[in-house]
Amino acid sequence: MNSHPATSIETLANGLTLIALPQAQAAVVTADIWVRSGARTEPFAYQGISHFLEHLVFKGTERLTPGKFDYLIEARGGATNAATSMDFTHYYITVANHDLTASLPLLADLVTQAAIPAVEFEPERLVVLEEIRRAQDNPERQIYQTLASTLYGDHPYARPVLGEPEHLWAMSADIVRDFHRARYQPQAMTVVLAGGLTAAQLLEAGRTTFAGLSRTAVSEPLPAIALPTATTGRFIHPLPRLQQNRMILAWLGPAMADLAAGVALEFISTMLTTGRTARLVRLLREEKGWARQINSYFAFHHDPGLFVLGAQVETPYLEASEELMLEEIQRLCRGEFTQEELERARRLLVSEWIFGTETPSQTCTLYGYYSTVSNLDQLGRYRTLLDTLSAIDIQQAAQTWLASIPATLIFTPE
Amino acid sequence: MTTPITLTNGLRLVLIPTDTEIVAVRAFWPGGSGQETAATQGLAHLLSTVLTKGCGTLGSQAIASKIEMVGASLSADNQSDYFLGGISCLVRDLPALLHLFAEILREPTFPEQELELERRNTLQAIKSQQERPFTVAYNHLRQQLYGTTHPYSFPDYGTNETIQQLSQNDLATYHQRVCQPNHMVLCIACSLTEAQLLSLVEACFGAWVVNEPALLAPIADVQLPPTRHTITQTTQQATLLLGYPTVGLNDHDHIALKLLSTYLGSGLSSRLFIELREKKGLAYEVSAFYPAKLGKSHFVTYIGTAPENLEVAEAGLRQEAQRLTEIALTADELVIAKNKMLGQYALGKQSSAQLARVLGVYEFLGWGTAYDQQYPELIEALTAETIQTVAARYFSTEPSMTLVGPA
Repeated sequence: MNSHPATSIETLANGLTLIALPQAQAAVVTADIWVRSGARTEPFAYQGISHFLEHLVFKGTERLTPGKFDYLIEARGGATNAATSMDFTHYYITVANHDLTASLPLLADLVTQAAIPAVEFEPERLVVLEEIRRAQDNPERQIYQTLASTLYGDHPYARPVLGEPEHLWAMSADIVRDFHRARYQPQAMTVVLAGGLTAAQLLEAGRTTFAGLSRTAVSEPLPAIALPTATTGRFIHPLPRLQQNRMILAWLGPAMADLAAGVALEFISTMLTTGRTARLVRLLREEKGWARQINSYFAFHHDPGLFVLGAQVETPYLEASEELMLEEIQRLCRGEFTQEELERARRLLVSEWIFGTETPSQTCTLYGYYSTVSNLDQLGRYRTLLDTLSAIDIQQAAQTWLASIPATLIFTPE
Repeated sequence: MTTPITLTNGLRLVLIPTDTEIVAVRAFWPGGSGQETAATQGLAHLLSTVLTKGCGTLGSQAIASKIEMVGASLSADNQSDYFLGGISCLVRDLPALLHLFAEILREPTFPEQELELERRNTLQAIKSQQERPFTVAYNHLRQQLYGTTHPYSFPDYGTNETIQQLSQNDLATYHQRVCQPNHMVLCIACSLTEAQLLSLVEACFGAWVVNEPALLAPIADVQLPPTRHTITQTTQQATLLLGYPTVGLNDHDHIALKLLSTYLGSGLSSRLFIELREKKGLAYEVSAFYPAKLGKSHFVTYIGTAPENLEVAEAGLRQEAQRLTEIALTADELVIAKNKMLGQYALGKQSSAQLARVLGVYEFLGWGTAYDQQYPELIEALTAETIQTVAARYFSTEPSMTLVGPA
């Protein structure tokens, strides 16, 4: 069952998953290659290798000299970029409809045949080191990193995707190249094509480009990863250059496989903090004026996700705000919410879905993510759950995942 | 396809036909932060935050409830030369929400307690800005370029002093002065027919009478001698900005400056990216931008780099601007820069909200929606010679420099 009315899915003989999503009104096509390889499954000694590889992929192949790919795509008026996360890495282009057949083979060559030339390795390592420095200058980023390391302990989700400088210095072009050969196999890839061509045209472009890609005989098993255990307690971190207290309450949540619980936590986060009438926004920001930038989310991951509740809180109100947040969570655990609050959250989440699949690149991200980290049936289920989830489901998820004492992190100006 | 319709009260309506259930409404009216004085810095931003928090007999929670219960969103923002408000919703909810939107624009009440709340939040936001080195640097660079009394130099949120002084009357007076139907453009991207939309808009906005003509202060021309300024922060990277005074968006050189900004700073194949990042490994982020402003604007090149690389980085940024004054772009470089601009233009008009914004601004600026077709022609017409002449006009002068980084 598919959530997009015109989804076509094929598995090629080499194991690669191909998804075509025609969007008739679009003037452009996005082609998005997803690889089931990210920071979660990196060797411990080479943290950050997935992200560094993503940079080095753009350094070309036997056929594409460094910079040539960017040039060829952008010279046609297209756009390209890539992103690395815990559970995936993806590379994408957005080009005019008539440019797809010429551009897609370039993207395929870039990603699957990366040469990782030794001469390009050193300058690019400097670029990533600058990226790390830049991240360290960004308080929001530092806060997230501290949150992740507190909640995930020894699990790889605790580590920065960018790695640490010492890990980068430990890598060589050969090591990164071997990592690429081992991980970027067709059976670990999903290619999503969405835009203003027909399904037949999109599929044909995908087949022609990727059918010839061979898989190597053996791929190493990924390292086994122990699941994180819950962390509770109160942690205070002074941060340099911070001007405002940040308070975060966080709980480990369900893994992607427990989709219904994850969606229920999205309802809860929407009830609490999406919009001015959301409970905590109304209470903490609008009525009491104790806090601002109140937000919450449930972050889906392949392994256990994270439910986060955060705000900028003025110093005199830190404790009272924490109490109030916990009290509202407890009330949800007891089922103390109205049908109106639930339906409001439902409408907001359905809108988010509709507005979040408006353009080809958004659509590719959604489908590529699910195909890579979960599967497309789950994406269809996700959309159905937005319509069907009941008050009982939400209360049960709250009881299961949020009734325990959270980890409270408070970041204060140094 | 999108000929504007003018209501009897002067409101100009731009309708963009679509075939989706998504509706984007965007309204544009004059003012923005460009009409602030030194004593009222931050007025436009504060006004935008309080505007949606009371209208007619509705309070903040009642307004938000009407929006959120149908999964819609409502926004009000200030730009340097105009205000922008909007609604994004599904087509079935448009009639009710457009009435609400009209009431917000026509009869905002700026409730006293909402003003106090947003005043406090703004004071906190002013502090938070210090956490972002780029913002600190850019706020200061604008002071160097415009002096401390020109509106383009004011920080978006204002200052502690001005935010504490602004009153409900300041907000209400400013709003009434600039938010008048005869100066407003309303742009709606929607699948309803023109007749349906016209009657809906008439019902919501038709009875709105013009109070008095809006008198806007012209944006003053200033050109200050270049200066260099360093702000010490205990950061790992140094953030370096170079600012060159330029012209506004109605000037002949506007399109050429946009091309220069694309050539230098846009994408993975841009000149600064290749020369300073890919070849020298100096930075993760290095780019250029040229903000669209009615008054005289500025062109900025910038880089975030390790402090020990600062000299090389500054020399590199300067050299790349200088080079454009000395040699013309090759035929190939010119074609590519043009294709990038055209491509980005198409990519920037994918969603209903993007379309409503782009076409609405054109109508608001008096260029008309036909500018949507003219813009690609203007890009195509640029020659390497023109671009070099324009580069020479703005990049031959010494830029102002702002640096934020460790001592």
